[in-house]
Amino acid sequence: MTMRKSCNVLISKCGNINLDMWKNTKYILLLGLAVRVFIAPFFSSSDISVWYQVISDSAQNLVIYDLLHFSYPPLWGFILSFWGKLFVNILGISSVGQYVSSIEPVNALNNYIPLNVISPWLNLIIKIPIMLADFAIAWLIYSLLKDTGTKIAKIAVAFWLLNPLVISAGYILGQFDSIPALFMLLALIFFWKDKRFFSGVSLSIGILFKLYPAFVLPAYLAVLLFSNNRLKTKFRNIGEYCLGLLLPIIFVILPMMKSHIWIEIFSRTQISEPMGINFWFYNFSPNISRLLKSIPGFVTIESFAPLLALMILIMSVAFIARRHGSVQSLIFGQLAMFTGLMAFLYQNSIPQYFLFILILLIVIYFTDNIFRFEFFLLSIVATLFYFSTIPTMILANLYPLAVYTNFISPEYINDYLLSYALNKPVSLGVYYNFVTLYSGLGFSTFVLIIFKSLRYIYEPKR
Amino acid sequence: MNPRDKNRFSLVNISSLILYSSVIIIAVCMISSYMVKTRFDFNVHDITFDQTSSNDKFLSFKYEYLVPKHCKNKLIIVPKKGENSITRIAVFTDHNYPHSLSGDVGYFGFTNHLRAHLHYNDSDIPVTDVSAQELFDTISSDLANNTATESAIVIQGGILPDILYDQNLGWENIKKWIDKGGTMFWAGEIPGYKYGKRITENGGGAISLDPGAVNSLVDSRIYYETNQKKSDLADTATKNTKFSEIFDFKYFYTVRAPLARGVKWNNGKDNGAALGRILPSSDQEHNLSSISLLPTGEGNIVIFGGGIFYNSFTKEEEIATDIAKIINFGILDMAENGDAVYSEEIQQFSNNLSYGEIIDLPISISTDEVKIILKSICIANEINQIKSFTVK
Repeated sequence: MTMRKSCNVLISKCGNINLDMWKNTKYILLLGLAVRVFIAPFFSSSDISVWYQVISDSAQNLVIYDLLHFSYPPLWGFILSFWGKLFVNILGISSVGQYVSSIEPVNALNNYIPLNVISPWLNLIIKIPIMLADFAIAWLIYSLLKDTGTKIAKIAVAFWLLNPLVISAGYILGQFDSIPALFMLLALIFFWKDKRFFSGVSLSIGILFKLYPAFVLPAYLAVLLFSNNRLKTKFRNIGEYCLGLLLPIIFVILPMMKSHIWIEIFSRTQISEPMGINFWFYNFSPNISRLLKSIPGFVTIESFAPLLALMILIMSVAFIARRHGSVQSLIFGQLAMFTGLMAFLYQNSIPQYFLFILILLIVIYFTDNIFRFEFFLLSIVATLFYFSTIPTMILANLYPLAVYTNFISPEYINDYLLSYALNKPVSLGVYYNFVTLYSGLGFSTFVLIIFKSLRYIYEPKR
Repeated sequence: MNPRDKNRFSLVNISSLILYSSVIIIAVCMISSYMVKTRFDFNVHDITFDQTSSNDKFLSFKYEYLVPKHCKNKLIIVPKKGENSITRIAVFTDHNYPHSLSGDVGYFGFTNHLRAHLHYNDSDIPVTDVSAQELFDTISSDLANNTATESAIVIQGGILPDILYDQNLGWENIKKWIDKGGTMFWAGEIPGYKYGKRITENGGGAISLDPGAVNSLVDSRIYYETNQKKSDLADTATKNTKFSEIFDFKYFYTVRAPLARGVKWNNGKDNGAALGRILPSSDQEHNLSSISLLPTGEGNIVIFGGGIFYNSFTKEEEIATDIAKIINFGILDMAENGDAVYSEEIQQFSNNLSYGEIIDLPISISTDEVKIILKSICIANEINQIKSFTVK
């Protein structure tokens, strides 16, 4: 079955879906749940320290943007705040975690490693929304692909739920990108089904978790604008979409207008620092920056990346326009936008940004009725490679396990991290090269896959 | 309807179900975030400190409340020397002027962090960002009204604006302000070594006064040999001073730090104190101090020895935390007559305080009042509860 036919099947036949997912995928669901519940309590990452800081601030009745620890849109902050207050009020402050003074020398070298180690219960509970999002995505993937074939749907669910990329991003690194990815998928589904208002609401909620779903907005607007409808209908549809988009933003942002939310989200992005990330969704890479500076005419990556991102957005919109706003063009337009914007991803702490791409690819590949095992392998290799480039981070992720169980001692981790930092077995230059290589590999992999996919779009009509 | 359809959900139904559930969860989280207030199970103001015996200023206290478990809890007794006189803090934040070892990111974060950490430390002293002109006005007004003791300024960018510099008198104006009791917190370049000209289309920027830094705001000899090349790690001070150990000062960078021994004999007086950590050198004479307190006249200069940017990270929160503690714990007052006298009187007790514990404080103090600080590092923030206590 060709890609075109697959998409048509997807659009026309996914109206009624059996609720037999449990029957067909219960072992996958249970295994996926078990892996998550097993990993979630005992792993934390540097970003967990940010979540921890937000919980701490809200436990002290401060607005989440007051202390400048949190530079994301507000919804994840509200979720953290809810769990933090619940824990402190019901179980007492001691339930949140414990101060481990032996980590002090490590913290002195890297203050992203918190001195307070999060308790397994809180660690598990703040990851529950991520789990819910993962399973909701699995449900939607199954429902989308059920008519293509039960086996295909089953493999697709396994591909998502048991994917090491998804598990490591959410439960080792504590990244919540499954949540915005869920809302982006919802936006796509509602749009397919002509529920423009709900599509807008979903995309808006996604944006209120992380900013990057905003990049697909031009794709939606382009589809509405370049559809074959009459002008009046086009504008009515756009109005409907925008209304859905604006309502959640107004409800969430309005009470926070007096806080530092705008400055925090849009200004305090530290693009001047290595590892800083800005609104344009790229990380500052010393290597890429050096390369750009060596090219006459280019001044800095800071000026170059937004221009390129803008160019990609415009090209994607033009592509959608050329395809008269078809659903296929919307999917591939989104893929192109994300892949293009990720051209500048440098630091290896961001595998989570691939999650939404992964969902789109799952949908595309599995509607094509061919199970792409090599892609599954690629994501395993990419995850392993990711961890191999940063051996220190793996051990630093294990502090909750060390502090709350006897499997490993915190002193062992401290000694390893200190000796690593002091002896510098891998020089910073080599490290950056590794990281750039990883970034390059990850990027090339996705570009290859997407180019491969694009040929379906241009295949001759039959 | 086909009988099989009874158990069917449409894709839209499933999506709607997920969307509605999410909206409800989000609404509950939002409402709880605004409406639910947290209660902490400790508060130093609720703790009764009963002086159970007094014999030649030998004190015993009993306190009755639980301190948070699994937090790092400390009880600290410091001699109290007068009331904290600082009632306002001005932070020099003028984007039209150059900075050293700082930048807009640090500028932005610093003021808010300082406000928040003063709040954490039981104080709500107003903190305001000031432009170069406003800084000049603050100093002039303090001098005219003799209110310098109530005022603190923070030069977070390491460079003072040119309007405070006089070609003939040098930094006389600001020196006079400090002598009259003003407190200046400094991060970045050697204090007064450079002055900043307003950046315009026609130029501007930082201008060095002289290579030997003899015109700087502090005795230039305290910076002897600090410019020697060091590795990244060698900029991180590792050895605790009594102050840093007891008060958990966070800042320990030394890229522009004064000599630890130099701090003591600032301006020919043996009255300074190394508050932060020490970067040990093979020659002890060249040890560096990450936070240095230099009492000057009736006022103080506190130097953070590495600026806000360090090793690619911004340290504005660490500097803000430490400034808040230095002000609220009365450390400026303690060092007034010299590190040697008062630091010996600081007492630190157990990291494992527990309910109903009776603590004997074998302290010999020379003041009639002490400050009792209950310091708890819980979750991710440090919360300090402070109470003054008169010795009977």
